[in-house]
Amino acid sequence: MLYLVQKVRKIKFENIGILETGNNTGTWNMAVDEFLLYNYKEPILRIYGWSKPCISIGYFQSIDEVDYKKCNEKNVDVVRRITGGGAVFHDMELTYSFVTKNFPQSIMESYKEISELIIQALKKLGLDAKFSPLNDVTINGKKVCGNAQTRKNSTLLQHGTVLLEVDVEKMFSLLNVPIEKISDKEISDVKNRVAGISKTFDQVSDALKNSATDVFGCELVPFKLNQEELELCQKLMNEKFSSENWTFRR
Amino acid sequence: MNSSHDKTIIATTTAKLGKIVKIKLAYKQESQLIHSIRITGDFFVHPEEVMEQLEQGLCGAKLEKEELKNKIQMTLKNSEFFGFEIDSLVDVILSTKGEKNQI
Repeated sequence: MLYLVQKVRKIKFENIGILETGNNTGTWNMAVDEFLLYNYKEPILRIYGWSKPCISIGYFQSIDEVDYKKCNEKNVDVVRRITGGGAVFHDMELTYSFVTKNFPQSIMESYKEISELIIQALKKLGLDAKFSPLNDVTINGKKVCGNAQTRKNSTLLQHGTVLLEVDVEKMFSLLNVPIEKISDKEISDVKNRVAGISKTFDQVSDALKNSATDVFGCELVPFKLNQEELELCQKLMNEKFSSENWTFRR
Repeated sequence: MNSSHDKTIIATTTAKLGKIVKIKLAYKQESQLIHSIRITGDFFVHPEEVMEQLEQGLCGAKLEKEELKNKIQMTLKNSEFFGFEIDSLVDVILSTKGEKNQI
């Protein structure tokens, strides 16, 4: 006898706003994510990319993690996130953010629930993706998606990257790796632990939108920021994410 | 003791706990009191602002296991954190004051 098992997910929505903002700079991308976190009660799924390579560092990381001078020379932006976690080299990838007031209170559980969005999207592309606690999605043991989240005013923001192609050598050339503590083997392990999925941005974007409908049992409603909201994002970008006070705060 | 004669030592260390944790510590050599401390790394703390409160709260604390543990436990009691344990964080802070870590 065939049993069809429907996984019961804890998060269900009637509608999710889908916001596609295209490729932008790191400071703009982080400003929009923060704006959504503080200003939207309705769930929003944002899909975006990067107009130029950028390293984002985690909220708690020191700016010394990054070879800032070399990044300038190589025309790579540096931005600090409002979320914890490690440095990410944003280049050939799709990035998403998800904002919601409806989420499991357990950090672990919420990562798992929201990451299902990515896992099901990758499955639609024929890839056997798995959740790897706390905050990664892996295929055959290799990290293809890293995620980070923060919670403010009872709202959760999770953002993450789906790696399309990876240039680990370039990323490591822009980071200051603490060689006195991290052995060559460990660096090599990190290099071997990440992989791109060799799909296009549009393929992943379409899969993600289909996955959101399935995973959260909802309709996606196209959504755009209006002029006033864009101006507020601009202000946030100028006054916070482009400022040395923020970027160099640690 | 005249505190003006208590030399300030600055030291750093990096440890791989669950995540990478880096400590930059300024402390008084004689009294073993923390002057300032910065805890950085790729860990997660929710809410994030608690880490700044912790760093401020540790100023003036003695570099002694129980005192550090109590202060950290107190500050993080309503927080969730991933990438380190309180005991291991205390050990890393204490290990920072070794001579080899001075800058």
